[in-house]
Amino acid sequence: MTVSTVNPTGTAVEVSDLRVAYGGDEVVHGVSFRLRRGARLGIVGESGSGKSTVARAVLGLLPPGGHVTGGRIELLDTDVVGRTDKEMNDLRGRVVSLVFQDPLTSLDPVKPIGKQIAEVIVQHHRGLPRAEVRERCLRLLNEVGVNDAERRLKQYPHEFSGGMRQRVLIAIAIANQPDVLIADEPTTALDVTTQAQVLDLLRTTAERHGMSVILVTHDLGVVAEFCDEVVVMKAGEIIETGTAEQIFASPAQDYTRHLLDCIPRPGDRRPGPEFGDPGDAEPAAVLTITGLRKRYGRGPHVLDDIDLTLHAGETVGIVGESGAGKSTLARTLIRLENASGGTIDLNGADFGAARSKRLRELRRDIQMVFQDPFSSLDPHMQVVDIVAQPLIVHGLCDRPAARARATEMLASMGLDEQFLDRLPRNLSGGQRQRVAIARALILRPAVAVLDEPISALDVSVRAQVLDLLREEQLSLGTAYLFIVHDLAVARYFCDRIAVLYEGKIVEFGSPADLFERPRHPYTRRLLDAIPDPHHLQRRMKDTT
Amino acid sequence: MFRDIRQRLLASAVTIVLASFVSFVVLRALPGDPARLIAGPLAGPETLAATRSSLGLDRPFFAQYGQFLWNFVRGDWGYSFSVGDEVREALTSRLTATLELALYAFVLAVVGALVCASVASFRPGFRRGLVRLFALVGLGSPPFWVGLVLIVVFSSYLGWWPGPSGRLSPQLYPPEPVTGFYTVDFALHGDLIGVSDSAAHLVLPVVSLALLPWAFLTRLLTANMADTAGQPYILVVRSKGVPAWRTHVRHVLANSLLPTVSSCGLILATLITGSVLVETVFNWPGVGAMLTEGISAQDFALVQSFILLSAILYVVGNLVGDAVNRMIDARLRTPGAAR
Repeated sequence: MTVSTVNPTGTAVEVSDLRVAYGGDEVVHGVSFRLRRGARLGIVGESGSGKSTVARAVLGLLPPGGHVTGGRIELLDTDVVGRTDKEMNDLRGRVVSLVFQDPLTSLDPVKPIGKQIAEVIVQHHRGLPRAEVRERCLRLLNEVGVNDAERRLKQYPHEFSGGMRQRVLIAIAIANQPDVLIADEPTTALDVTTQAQVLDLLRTTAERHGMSVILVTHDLGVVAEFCDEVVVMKAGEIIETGTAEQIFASPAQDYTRHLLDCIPRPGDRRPGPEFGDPGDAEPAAVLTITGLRKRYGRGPHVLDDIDLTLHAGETVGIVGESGAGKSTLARTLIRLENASGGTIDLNGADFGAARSKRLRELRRDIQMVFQDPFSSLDPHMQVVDIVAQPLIVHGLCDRPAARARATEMLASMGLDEQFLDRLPRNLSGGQRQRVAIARALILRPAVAVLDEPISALDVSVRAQVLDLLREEQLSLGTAYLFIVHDLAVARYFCDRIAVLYEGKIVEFGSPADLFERPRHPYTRRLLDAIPDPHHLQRRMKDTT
Repeated sequence: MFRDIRQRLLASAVTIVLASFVSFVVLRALPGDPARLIAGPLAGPETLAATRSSLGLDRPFFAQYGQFLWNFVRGDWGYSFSVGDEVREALTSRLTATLELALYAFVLAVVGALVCASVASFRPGFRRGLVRLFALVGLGSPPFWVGLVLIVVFSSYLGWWPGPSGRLSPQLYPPEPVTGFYTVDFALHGDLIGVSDSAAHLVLPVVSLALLPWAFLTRLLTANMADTAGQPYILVVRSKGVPAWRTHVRHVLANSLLPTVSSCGLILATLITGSVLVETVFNWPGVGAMLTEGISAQDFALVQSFILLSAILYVVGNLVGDAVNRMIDARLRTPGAAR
């Protein structure tokens, strides 16, 4: 099959009335959109909206069991629905290519990078001399900003950082200068600063080679930064289409408005009184960290001389990129790992040095909520038992009483009786995270360490979970140590924010101070990188 | 990396020494007196004492142990009174017979499992069902029973392959030993009739011995392949336009092999030490029968040496498995690489 590259209508992809089903269940119900040549289209939606399914249908690579049941997908004016796999192989990687979600798992871990880039070139240029293939690989790596390409070609994926791996994936995707690039959540797994760089790279390469881009994402901020046209999907249907300006300035649909409202605006603030208002009594310090250090073996210090104080009822945010030591700080604080130096004082007790039985007793007062509710709940335990377990473990009450308390706790979090005997896999992401929060808070701990508690959740659920956390805080007086990479959320939710950079706290202050008068250059860089749907105009000007 | 290798080798050496020590202790803790067994029920106390001292059994325990280790390393594995020959002679001739069986069975199991698992993960539907059925039957059938069935069907009934007549047809003489593997030795001497005859004698015992690990590896590999096929990087490879089968061979296979290779060392060792019943069924002059006799006769020298030898085989098998894994996976070559 040949697809003409001369394209009179100026349409790169036209999808009309596309229907996709898994087995007998239709999950995409008649989706239509058009992507102009050289344009950038965003498909936005929450998990389960069918956005990724649409993207994969364009490539002809639906997951097992999935098949197109109706409609057309025109790639450069040629319908690709119903093509054989062989015909599609000729198109994939040459006419249409993919930049996939998670750079950490999108490269084959046992093959060197060079081979993985060469693979796509050789696939479509049989008989190309090896030297020429290698030359092209080097050029591609240089183009996507991977330095020292000669050496890098021989390296394996694990020797690259997340951002670098995403660059390699982009190099693979643009290797044969395809007409259409499909980017499925290309930045979701990256830090804000890296995210901005990768988006920039995608934009510039797409412009340089005249590629059309379909960007699939749940992140409205990213769409606002990157796309000229937006399609909003919900439950397998398109509910709104328009230019980026239209969608963000005057959304026509309630759902779109709702999605936008779920992103905190700069002025937004979580409910409840501000912490440390003048006139209040000086609140009690519940957690005092002094000179905390952590290193692995003889390696460098991952945490270097951290001082931090948490007061009752206060939320302290920890922001920073991956590798800054955020999660190590959380794990060291709750003694999943032992510090290499410094003290952790919990309610006047020396938690950092406590051993065996004493350590267990003290643990009641410091609990943790993990990032990923899919893996932090025992898949074989019923919801009610998961929440009741801490009470039983700490010998606070017997099983029936613990279950009763857990039932109460879950009810107060909006999970009524029908959820009690379910297993975690039968809950949605937001519900699972509520269970995880209930498990952490049922002991009424003085401190709860929240490690990215909302970043694995859908946008609209995030707000609910944050509200819930705030309600519980107001009623229990728990102090939160809130580890978060999303600065807008930090600004919305935290009383004070610490910026962690290379294992050190480089800046510490109230959200207002930090966001309006950042002192440390790293903080400034971090702030510049945030994509912000509410400030759409900023970037749009650069590109038009 | 060299530190890593040194540690592995050291750990292996410790494992071998510990195994030898445990076997040494356990054998001596068993009830009964080998001197009495050798000298016979009518021997008097002086004869007993003399036998004992000739066996070295009157010496202090650790001296005996040290002597045993030292002699083993020097190649003097002692005299087996139950066989009536030097232990080394007896073991090597018997062990090569077992090894020939085990190695072919191992190769069949691994290659067969690779093919079956690839078919199962690549062709859903009927063929996948067939492979599953095979794995289930293979895992549920005791090898000696499979051997009997194979003899009945393929030897007695169909007459395709020789029955339980050992390693060779009676009219042929064993080849001059070079490797101890009849197939290889015949080939080295250019004796094609010998090669085909010894190979034919291998078919049925190899199949019955291989069936269990074959089925086990098929299950393991199928599960791994299904897991790997769902990984994002496989989707990325497919998005490059690489055909499905080539993706399978180049990417799915390599990544699925990792957990399998580690278990291969174990499987090889089990094949060598666990083939007793199959050998009995096929009249195979392997190490199994000799060993069971040796154990009941309290033939310390024979049993000890065998245990030590299998410990070494075991450890070497595992080391080779690890080395192969390192060759496949660069992450294992750089210590501390988490993903």
